[in-house]
Amino acid sequence: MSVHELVVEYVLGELVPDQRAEFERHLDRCSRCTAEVAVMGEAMVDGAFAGAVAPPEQLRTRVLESVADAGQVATLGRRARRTTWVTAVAAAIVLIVAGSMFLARPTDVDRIVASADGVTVVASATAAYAGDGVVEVVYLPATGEAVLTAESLAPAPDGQTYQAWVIGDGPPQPAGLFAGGADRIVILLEHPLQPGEAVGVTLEPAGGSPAPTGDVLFLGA
Amino acid sequence: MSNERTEQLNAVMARVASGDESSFAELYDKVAGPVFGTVLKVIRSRELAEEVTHDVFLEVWQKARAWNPDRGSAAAFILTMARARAIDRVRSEESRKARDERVGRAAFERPDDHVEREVIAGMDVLHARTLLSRLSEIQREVVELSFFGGFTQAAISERLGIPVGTVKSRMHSALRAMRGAEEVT
Repeated sequence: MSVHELVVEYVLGELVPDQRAEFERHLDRCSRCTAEVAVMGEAMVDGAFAGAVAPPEQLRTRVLESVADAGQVATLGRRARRTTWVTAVAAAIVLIVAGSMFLARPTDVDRIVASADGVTVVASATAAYAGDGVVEVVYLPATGEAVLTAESLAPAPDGQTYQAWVIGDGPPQPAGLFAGGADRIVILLEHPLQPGEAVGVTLEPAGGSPAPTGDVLFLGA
Repeated sequence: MSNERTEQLNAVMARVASGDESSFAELYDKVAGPVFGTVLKVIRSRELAEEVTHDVFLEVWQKARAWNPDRGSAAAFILTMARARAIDRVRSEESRKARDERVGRAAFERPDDHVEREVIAGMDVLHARTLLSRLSEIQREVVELSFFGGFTQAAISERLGIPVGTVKSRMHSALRAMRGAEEVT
């Protein structure tokens, strides 16, 4: 079944958690499904309002107490995906241990991604990017340390490299190079990332550029 | 009717997403009925439904900043989560096969009459009738079972004795029709 056909199951909450996470990644880069989800979500909402049942008053008390005790998950980007990250990291560590092009040391990746304070940023594909790749960054607001994961990215063309950028108030800051061409690539960003800043990815000439010259392919803020 | 509701909820959700805890009570009051109704229909146990509803609201608070207005209204974000958590809960308690059997049987056996009466009593009949009036007979059947019966599409397929793919295509066209959208072929 095509992933596009999962809109109804997604809206009706019928996907199992793994499928749900996968479909949400798909939504990041499929405007047609996103539009469908919006329409069907509202139909589902209409149905839910028509079938409302008043919960007991004590439930309200319990919910408000729990909320007062619980913090919010900080997300710079669109949504937090901690569970996805835990599995991603397990896979990433295997790749790092095995691999050559992976720059991040497993201990750093592990520490940053496993931190309860880690914030996930999904860098969404822009109109300039046509592939299936997914780029995410998790960072620690306290230190600015950040890990970028690129998944399903086509290999960079000969003589070119993907380059990550941290984009704040000033000019974009180069934050690391990666080649693409593997299921999942993980690098530690070479420039700290702070709340309020964005992460972008471009294609640049081999060796990277001091300032972006290619189209922005992914952008998350 | 629903646009005003959507706008109001989006506005409250935006305040909640900015960390405004005092707005959370307002959000709760606006959607607790639909959330509890949704969960109760799927789970069919009042006690478990209260527990799941509690967890859903806690998750809404914790993940409020992840709400992306481009992808749907605040109500859709919350109610999709409610349905998903309720279905997850049913699945976690039984194997997939056993679950489909149980959910599929629920309509015949009416295991909890009290829940059933409550669900019916809580129905906004006029609203429901308006929604359903836009649908053909076969579309209405799947929508009623899904929204007002709390069945998954697999369970509906079993109950009606039609292929899951047929249920899905009816549901797809029904959801679009409910929002007055043209069917894309």
